[in-house]
This record gives sequence, C-alpha cells and structure tokens, in this order.
Amino acid sequence: MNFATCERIPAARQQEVRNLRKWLAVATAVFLPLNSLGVVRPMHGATGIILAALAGVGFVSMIALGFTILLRTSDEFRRTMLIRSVLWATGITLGLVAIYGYVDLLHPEALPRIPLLVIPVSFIFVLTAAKLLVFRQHRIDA
Amino acid sequence: MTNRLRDLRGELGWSQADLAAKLEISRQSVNAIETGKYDPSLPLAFRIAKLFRKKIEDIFSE
Repeated sequence: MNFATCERIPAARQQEVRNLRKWLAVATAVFLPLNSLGVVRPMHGATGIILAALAGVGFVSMIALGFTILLRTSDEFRRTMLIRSVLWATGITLGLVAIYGYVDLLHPEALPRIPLLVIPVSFIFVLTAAKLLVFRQHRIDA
Repeated sequence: MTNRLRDLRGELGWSQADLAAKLEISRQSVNAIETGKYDPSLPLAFRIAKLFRKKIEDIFSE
C-alpha cells in the first residue's frame, strides 16, 4: 500500500492499520507458542535453532508491527492511548523484573530460577491488560 | 483547558459521530475533547476552528 496515498485518505489508512493488526496477531500466534515451548522444553541442535529463529523473527515482527501501527494510527487520541498503554506495560514489566532481580541478588535461594524468555511473554500479557484498562477508561474499543 | 465544542456542535445539530466524521477522527476523540479528558493537538485544534469558522481562542480557553 502506498503510504503517500494513505496520508490523504484516512479510510485507507484505517484499513492499513486493521491489516497491520491482523499481521500482529499472526506474529503473536507464531511467537507465543514457540517461546513457551522454549521455556517449558528447551531443545538442542538444528530443531532448537530453527524454533529459536522462528520465535525471534516472530518477536521482532511484533515489535516492528506494533511500532508501525503506532505511527500509522491517524486518530491522535487513540494513538495517545496506545502510547500510554505501552508506557504502563513497559514500566510494570521492568519494575517487576527489577524487583525480582534485586531479591534474587540479595537472597538467591528465595526465588525460583526463571528463564529470561518469560519477560517478553509477560510484557505481552501486561500490555494486553494495560490496553484494556486504558481503553476501557475512555470507552474505546481495544 | 475548557472548550465550547459541545455547545458549537449542539448549535448546528450535529451528533458526536457527525463531528467525528467531519474531522476524520474517532467519536471517542470528540467525546474526550468535549469532556476535557484530552486536549487536542494544535493541527486538530486548527481543523476544529476551521470547521466552525471561528478562531481557536473562541473555542478553547484556559
């Protein structure tokens, strides 16, 4: 789709954002199961590398698509709410990771060891919750 | 910041959806601006002022 054309036609831009959201759902559907598989049952060799690469591509695609959706959302109020959701989710996830890290540093036996791969998954869930809360606060369909 | 958007819209008999369509924004945006939950950007404020054929300061005030 021609971005220059979309600049002048909000309806086309809305359709573009809808398509991007579909691709974001696909990327999430690829990333989440593969990532969870990597956490629950780590694999080695060629299969492990392929699955890790797929999960990596899925996650990078999610970030790129999310960023593009933010940029292409023509409604400034909706964009502001999206940014607010991302900020909340980032803050909460980083806060939890930091607290967990400090507790683990000071009392290594107090907490179970958790793979780092849990962090992006947590971020996705926290972002979903933050988005629902922020959008519901302003009665916007998430 | 306060605004007269609801009054101006009411004078013309437009619904929030009508105004949203004319400004090419969402109805939720119109509602958020009218209720003071969201202050529009300068470009959007100019579009609103142009639509109602008024100055920005006639619609928005501190």
